[in-house]
Amino acid sequence: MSIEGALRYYLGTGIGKGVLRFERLRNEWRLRHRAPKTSSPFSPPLSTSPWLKELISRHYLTGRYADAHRKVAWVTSGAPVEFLKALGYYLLYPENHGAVCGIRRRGEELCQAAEEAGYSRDICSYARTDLGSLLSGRTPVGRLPKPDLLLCCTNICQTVLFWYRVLAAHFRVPLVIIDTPFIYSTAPAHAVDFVQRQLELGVETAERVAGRSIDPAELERVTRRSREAVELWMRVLERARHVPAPITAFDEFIHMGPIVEMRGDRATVDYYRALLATLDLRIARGTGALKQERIRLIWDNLPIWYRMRGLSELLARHGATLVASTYTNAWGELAALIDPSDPMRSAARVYLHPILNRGTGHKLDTIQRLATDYAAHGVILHSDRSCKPYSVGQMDQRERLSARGIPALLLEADHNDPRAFADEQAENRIQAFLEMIPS
Amino acid sequence: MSTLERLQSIAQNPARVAERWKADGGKVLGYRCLYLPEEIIWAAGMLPYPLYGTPEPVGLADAYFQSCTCEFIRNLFDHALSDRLAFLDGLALSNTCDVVRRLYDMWSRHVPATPVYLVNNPQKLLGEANRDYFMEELRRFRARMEEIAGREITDDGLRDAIALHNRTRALLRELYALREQDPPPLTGAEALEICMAVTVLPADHADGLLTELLAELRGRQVEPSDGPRILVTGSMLDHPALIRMVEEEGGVVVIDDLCNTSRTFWHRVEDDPDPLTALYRFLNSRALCACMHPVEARIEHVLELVDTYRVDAAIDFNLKYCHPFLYEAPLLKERLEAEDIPVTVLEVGHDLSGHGQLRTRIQAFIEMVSV
Repeated sequence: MSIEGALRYYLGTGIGKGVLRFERLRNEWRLRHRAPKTSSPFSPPLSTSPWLKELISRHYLTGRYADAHRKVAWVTSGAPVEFLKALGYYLLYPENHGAVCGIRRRGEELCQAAEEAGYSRDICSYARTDLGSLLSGRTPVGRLPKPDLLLCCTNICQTVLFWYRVLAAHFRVPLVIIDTPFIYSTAPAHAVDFVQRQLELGVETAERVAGRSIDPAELERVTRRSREAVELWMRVLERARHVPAPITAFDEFIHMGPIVEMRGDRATVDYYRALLATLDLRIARGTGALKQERIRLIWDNLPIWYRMRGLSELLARHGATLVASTYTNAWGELAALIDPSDPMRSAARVYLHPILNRGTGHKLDTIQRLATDYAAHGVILHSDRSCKPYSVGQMDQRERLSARGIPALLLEADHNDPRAFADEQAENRIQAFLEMIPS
Repeated sequence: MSTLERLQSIAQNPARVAERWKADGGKVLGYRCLYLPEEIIWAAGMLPYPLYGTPEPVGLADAYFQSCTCEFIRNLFDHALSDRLAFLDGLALSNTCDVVRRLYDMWSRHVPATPVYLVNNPQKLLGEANRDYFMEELRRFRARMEEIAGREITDDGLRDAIALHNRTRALLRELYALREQDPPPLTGAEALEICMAVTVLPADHADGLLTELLAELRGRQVEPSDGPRILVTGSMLDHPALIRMVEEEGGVVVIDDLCNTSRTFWHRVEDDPDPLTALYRFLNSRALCACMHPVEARIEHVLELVDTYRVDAAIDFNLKYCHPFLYEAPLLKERLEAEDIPVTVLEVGHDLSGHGQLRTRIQAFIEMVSV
């Protein structure tokens, strides 16, 4: 952490932020003045989209220079990060970086780089994308900062444990693991105690690496902002209960960036507040995300990052859209458990309860509840080759949903590796499914 | 029939042991994998029965598990769905991988006749930060076993079970020590079958057979071989075909590091006034499966085996779709190669299809390391 490093950090991020702000203003101006495409089945993009782009780009821009001046932690998407934020760490999410690579169609090339180094094609495509990027030095975001600390929480899958061990061996930095017992109903007290104990030990390690102690008031502030953002995010999602839905799950997959990567930041709270206002305006005007909404669907599992546009256009041609997803919902449904006055205990409880750390019955109930609350006509279960905890159980869920009168389609794909996706076959199956739905 | 042949025949049809136990009025408790103590099951008067699959293509389970998931687990679920495990009075699983957790889900929904229990063990081992948590899990497991068995598990009963199982472990260590010899008096395929048989047999019965077997093997005459001494590692191999293939191609399999062989008996339960604490310490010290953390403990263990058994080369048989081991394979390979031990990582199916191609690769590897 030298003077030169600080200079590079402030100069690089300062100039970059200026450029990004200029781009955002230009994009906002364009959005306001561009004549809407009459042939498109979609309403014009959400007016906050340029802001979102600025927010996410700024996050990666800061990342480029972060290791010159700040402590950096690489963390899993379900990890309790509030204490790292309170200690001033810059946080990088390899999974989100994976998604960015996927959206920019770099997934396949990076997966192959990992496979060449001996990683099986059968392991998670996020892990392969990330390891491929690490080993080849290629990334669409310019540069990733080197971590001083790795934080891995197994509440989303056990794959992250295995993946982060590889990262730890590569970077030779401390690895904090929050080992979360599986929860089939509600968490027993000894499981919450266990996670809390690990969090406390994790804080000690993070403090040692950061060379400073955590300020309890700052931790409380960050936790409060986390809760605020999570609550706002949930309200954003719930706006899609309105018919026609002012926002779709396709939008949410992109707009979820801040709630995952920048949970606990003031900017995230500000952004979601603005997004909410935009959605309310749409509702007041009767504008849906789709001009002609006929079929409302629920999505289960991660998105297919490299086919988002294609899928949303395919659905739109049939007047169909996704109004909710278990995936985006996962970042909002636990809001009530967050207690800023008791950050460690409540974090232990919150981070034990993500949908992926629970039984398949819980997921089935969640899907059914979403279907009712969002007045959905059917469900698409994305059987994601890369995500076993999310996907195993879907075949059973499909049967059970159908038995309860909710048509469900099992769509085989992979969230980041296009080689596991057969376009034509998927298209045919989706079309057949949509034709079957009475609306 | 020699003792070895008797054990081999048990390994070929382990269910017979459980059925006989059942016919004598006992209860059988199936389990997988390493992180629950069979002593608790035994102390409840039940037969701890580790589940083994059969090398058949997956059938009924394909309606519940995607085809890109562990074939071993799908095979076990096939057995359950087709009533081949009807003799089980219960199933206990330990918290190892994502697919086992989902097996718990699927089993509880679709095999209601056999109650299933998950010991939610921590995955981060060695340190004692997990102690209170893991101890509570073990207490709950004990209570559940008492319920299924319909009898109390006393501390004395647990102590006896620990002593008995420690004896079996010691005998198996003795057996494996024979493999340090050059040439070893038993093949790798035989060792696998012996382990499979011993793990399903009632421990008090297994001990006698192992003692006889040791005497038998000590007197065995074996042709010297100049083939490379091979270490086999991976998750599980519940059929000797692959190890036999290595041996047919000239390799001498001197040690195996698998979830159904040496990992089950390498450590012993150390004395502690409280038997449950003793079991906790035992399980917590056994960071030998790639599912567990830290992985360095497992890699160090493999390196020690390489040393003790004077290993020339290693084969990592990775069961297809077994993620913990797939992630670990490059790390292990790098560490072994740094010690000048050539390694080949082979992804293998759980059934016997695809063995033709594997033979060619094994042949090439043995040839390469024999030079």
